[in-house]
Amino acid sequence: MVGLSAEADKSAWPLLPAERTWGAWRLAIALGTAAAATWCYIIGEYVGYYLNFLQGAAALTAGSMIGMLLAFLAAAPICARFGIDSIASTKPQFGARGWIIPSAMQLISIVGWNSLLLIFGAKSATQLMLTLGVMPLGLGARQIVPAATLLACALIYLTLLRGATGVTKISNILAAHVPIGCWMLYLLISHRWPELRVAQPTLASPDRLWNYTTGVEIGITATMSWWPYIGAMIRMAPNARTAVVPVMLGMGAATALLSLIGIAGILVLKSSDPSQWLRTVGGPAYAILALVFVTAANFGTAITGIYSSAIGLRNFAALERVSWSTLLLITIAPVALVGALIPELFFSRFGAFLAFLGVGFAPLCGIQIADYFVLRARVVDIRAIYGRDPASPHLTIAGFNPAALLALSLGCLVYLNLLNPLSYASSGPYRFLTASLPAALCAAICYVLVSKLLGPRTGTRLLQRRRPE
Amino acid sequence: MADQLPTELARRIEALERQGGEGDLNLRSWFWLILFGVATPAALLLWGWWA
Repeated sequence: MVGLSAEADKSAWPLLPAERTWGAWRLAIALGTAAAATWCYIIGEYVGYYLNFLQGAAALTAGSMIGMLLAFLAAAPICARFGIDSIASTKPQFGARGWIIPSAMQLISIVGWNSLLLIFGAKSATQLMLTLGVMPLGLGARQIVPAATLLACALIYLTLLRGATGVTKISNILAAHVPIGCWMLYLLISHRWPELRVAQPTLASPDRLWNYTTGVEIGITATMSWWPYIGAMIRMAPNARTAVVPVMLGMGAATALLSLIGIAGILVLKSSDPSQWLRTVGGPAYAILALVFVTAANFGTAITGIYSSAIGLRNFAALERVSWSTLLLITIAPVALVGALIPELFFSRFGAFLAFLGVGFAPLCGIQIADYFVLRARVVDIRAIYGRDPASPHLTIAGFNPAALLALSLGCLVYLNLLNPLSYASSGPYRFLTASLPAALCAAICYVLVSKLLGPRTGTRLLQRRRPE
Repeated sequence: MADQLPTELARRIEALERQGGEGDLNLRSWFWLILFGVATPAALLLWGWWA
């Protein structure tokens, strides 16, 4: 973080090239730390409901890499070129006020993911306390889980008071948990390979192709929904070229690899939580080690998530000038509330949460990709992104770009028509195409067509490079 | 427009405008993206289907 000013560190302002000092390794470690959390186990668990180990591994890894590719192409070119976060990168498509929509999606995504992480960590801690017989008298999981979640929120808050410097320092320490995860996977596979090889998924549909496609879909939606994290991390890299391999391998492949733990765990031991099954495989010492791993992994990821969300909120004029500590409180409060009030309800609805992420983020990625590579031919005006003048080329209809709104709506409808996020009931060509990919494609096509139809007044041409008068 | 922006933000924008489109994706970047985002998933899906 050499040369990064305190102002830029805690604002949504663009970073100058001299401030973007993260090389490929630094970026890969930060992204790997962000991705490699216990959500991987839950993602793997859901794939393990439908597919056996080898098929699940193939489908989930393929889906993760595809989702990562889409999220990268959507956010990275603009974020890396100008050193801005993912939310700022949506202003060219959604307009001077329309970016509030992606911002809301980002907030929901980050609050959801981080609530999940902290609840998972708290549940693991509770489980271990029960196992070791150190649970305080008169207390149970109902009290410990919310309390542990609130404690974690407080620690994250204190760490992030230092801005991105806190993210850097913590990722330096926590990068070690990725190899530990690989060791856990090795342990499970080496001890239980014969069982794992023949284990059958419990919720598999009779339709083999549907199961396979659902494994791919889960991978796509999981990694694509980390679109906010990509922008927040990539803005620290000097350019998009530096970020390609770190994003695809450090985040996409690492997620897939650690998700295999969840697939294997649910198939053989009926639990994706390593702190539970490692006790079965290796005894209490392994369980303690796993808990430390789970805690460390969640902590690093939650810190990155809260930081990304806080930077995204800075784009709101009302929050531009509030102190960093207040902004952090605003960002972390929803996570704390979910963790304290409805931990079990939220945890049990993870599948629906994942699918709802696909509903929103697939069209968003399609729109951004079409805008940057097709409509703008890679020309973006950084001044227009931050302009406040009513004559700004970003002001379309009341600050909203109708092309983006229509495309987003159409993409959501396409997704919902193909896959019901609540019941996972599917229709049409879902089993051949997934739901995310058609949603992204339809949104992209709709965005280009409507933009061209509406012309330069409300379409995207006015948002192109414009010299200041 | 720049008059309404904080001085530091305006300075940053001017510096970035001078930079132009440097550092955008090049052929090598596209190679890695297609390898990891298209070819690898396609190979995995084929392998997994018959696994």
